[in-house]
Amino acid sequence: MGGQNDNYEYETEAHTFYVGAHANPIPKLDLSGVFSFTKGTANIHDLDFSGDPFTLTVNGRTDDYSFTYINGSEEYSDLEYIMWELELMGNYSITDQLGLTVNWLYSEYQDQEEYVYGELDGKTWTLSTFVTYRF
Amino acid sequence: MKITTTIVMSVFIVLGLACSAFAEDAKPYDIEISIGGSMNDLDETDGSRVAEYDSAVGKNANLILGGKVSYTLDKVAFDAYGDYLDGDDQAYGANLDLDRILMLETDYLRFFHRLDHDNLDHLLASLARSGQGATLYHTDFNASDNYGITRSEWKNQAKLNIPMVPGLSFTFNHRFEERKGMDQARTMSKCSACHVVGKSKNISETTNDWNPAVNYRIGPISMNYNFMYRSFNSGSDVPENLYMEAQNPGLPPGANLDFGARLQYDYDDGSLPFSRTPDSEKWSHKVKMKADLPADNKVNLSYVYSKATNNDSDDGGSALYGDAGKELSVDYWALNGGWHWKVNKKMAFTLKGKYQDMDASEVGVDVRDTEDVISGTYQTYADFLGEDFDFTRYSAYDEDEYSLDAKFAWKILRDLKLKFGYGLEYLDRENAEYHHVTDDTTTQKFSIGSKWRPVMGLRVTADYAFTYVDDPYVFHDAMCPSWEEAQALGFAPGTYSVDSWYSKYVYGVRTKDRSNQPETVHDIKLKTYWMVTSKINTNVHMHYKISENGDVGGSDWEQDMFNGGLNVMYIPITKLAINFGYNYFYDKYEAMFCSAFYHG
Repeated sequence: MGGQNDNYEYETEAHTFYVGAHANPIPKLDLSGVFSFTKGTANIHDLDFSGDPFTLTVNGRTDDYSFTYINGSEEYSDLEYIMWELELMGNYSITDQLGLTVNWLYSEYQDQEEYVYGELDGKTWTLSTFVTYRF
Repeated sequence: MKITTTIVMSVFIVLGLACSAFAEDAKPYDIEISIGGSMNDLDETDGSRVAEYDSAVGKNANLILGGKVSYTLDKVAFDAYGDYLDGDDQAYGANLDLDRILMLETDYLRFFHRLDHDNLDHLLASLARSGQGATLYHTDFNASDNYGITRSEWKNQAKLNIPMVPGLSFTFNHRFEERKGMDQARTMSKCSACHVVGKSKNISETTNDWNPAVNYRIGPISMNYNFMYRSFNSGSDVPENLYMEAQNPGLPPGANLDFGARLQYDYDDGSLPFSRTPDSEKWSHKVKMKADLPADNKVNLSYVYSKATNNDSDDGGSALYGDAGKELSVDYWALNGGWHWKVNKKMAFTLKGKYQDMDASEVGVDVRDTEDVISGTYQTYADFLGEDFDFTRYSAYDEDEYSLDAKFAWKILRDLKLKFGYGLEYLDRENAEYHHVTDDTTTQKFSIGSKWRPVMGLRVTADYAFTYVDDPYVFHDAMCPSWEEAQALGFAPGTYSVDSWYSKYVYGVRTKDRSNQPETVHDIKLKTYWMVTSKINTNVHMHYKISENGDVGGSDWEQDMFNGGLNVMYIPITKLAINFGYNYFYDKYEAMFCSAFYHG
């Protein structure tokens, strides 16, 4: 048993951008929309353990311990994803007591670097409509 | 839940019909009912990210039902709400106030959380030498299962004010929380190779809190006694795993029984349980007193005592997998005090102190000794080596903690407020030597903050805190075994040796300490709110934190974290509002990465 050690940096970065608007073009109508975009990355750069630990031969059997499979990785433990969402909503007052709402939501998650939990890509949309009665 | 939904919606409709009989010019009620539906589509390889907390999108269509009602007349006030999307996405609540004498409140929330499924594919390693099999491999027994938990919480509160005794009131709080669904349980065997397995585990947990309290205020003094009883019940499955049969690489193929005492936790054929969640209970008593004293002084004092027990540890099996022969418990008590003094219109001073003590049960671990023919004699390995592998597990919870906090607030100018703070905490870990961690830790924190309005429409808050920790929590000899040290102890690799036990030749030759606790922290925050014009306002926020620990015996670390963003609200005309923003997060953690290897 033994080990090799070196100092490394694990970097995580995320950018989020969003824009939304709300309008009331006529007294009975409310419109709103929101768009958001997020990109996240994380990794260790340039993994390079110095040299192979040792070669051991016992009872005619040789065991080599080598970092070949992980040395030289430009980005080790690499994670990257993009997520964006768009939501649009409209609310119309048919009368003072009765209103109609329509809502549409779209979300998309793109997994750029599949890792521990497999590929996590996904898309979803929802179109909702409901009437509201007040009294 | 369909029945519950029908009942709730019926309540709204009946109330609506009943209330419509009232005269129109005295309308003590407001009612709102929403009915509709959704069409959905979820196209996913794995929905756990794009729809992590959204259960309705998993269906092609779902109902939308909602309602609100409020009613106020004379001395009665009532309001209620309800929202339903599907069985795993609903919320309800109601409040009733009877002349401020009896007040009742209830809230219920239910939602679904999609979980990840670890496919374990990254757990595959072998030696570089050709022909060598895997030394680390995996099996996911339920690869096609999707994981998720439905969580629900029901909270109730009742408060009774006694009109005949002003200042006296009783409260009763109740909370019921449930977790139901399926999650992944992982375990591993370690023998000639590391074999990690994943299995699905059905989850069915409930937590029930019962919390009565009595409050009494007389003049400037108020007192409170609070009792809480909590029970946690895990009806969850206990998965089992058939661990690799003991294999001895030194003996001829087929001779796989003589692995003897090296497989310490169990040596029987058959499966072993893992990922067990015990049932537990907790009792807590709290007494508080507050007093408003002359010259704008306030003092408060409180005492807390609690006891928590593990109800499933009293089986008389093996302590090595959770059966200690008695219920394990943690006893906790704490004394808190505080003093607040409003010196004058511009200055205020606050001082707080706390002492807490925690003690937990010890566990005697009787390591199973197996007998074998060793050096011609039928005996246990412990007898042959002259060792006693039984031990007492002293709890890592046992500790005393003292803390003191002082804050001074000063309105130095009409538009500028400053606050200064100092905090001191001393933590004494009573069983540190058994766990190879730091005995005691002293933390000091200095802080300065400001709120400033330099010009009309602009507000700035800036805060800086410096934390210094003397002897932060460190796990000694936590990693990086040394090949040279193992040999110096007499380890002979590749041979079948009765002297090869882990605590001496693997854990015992680890050379590096490890800690994720900082020694120093610089924490800077800045926020601004600026109304540029009557149509534009902005928010800027920045947070920068530098933490490091240079006292970890060679495995020092440093972390830089930055989070900042900008938000703008623009209202060009009264009928249009536009909002946009950007946020940036960066974190860099530099530390030692140790890649260790084990040679059988």
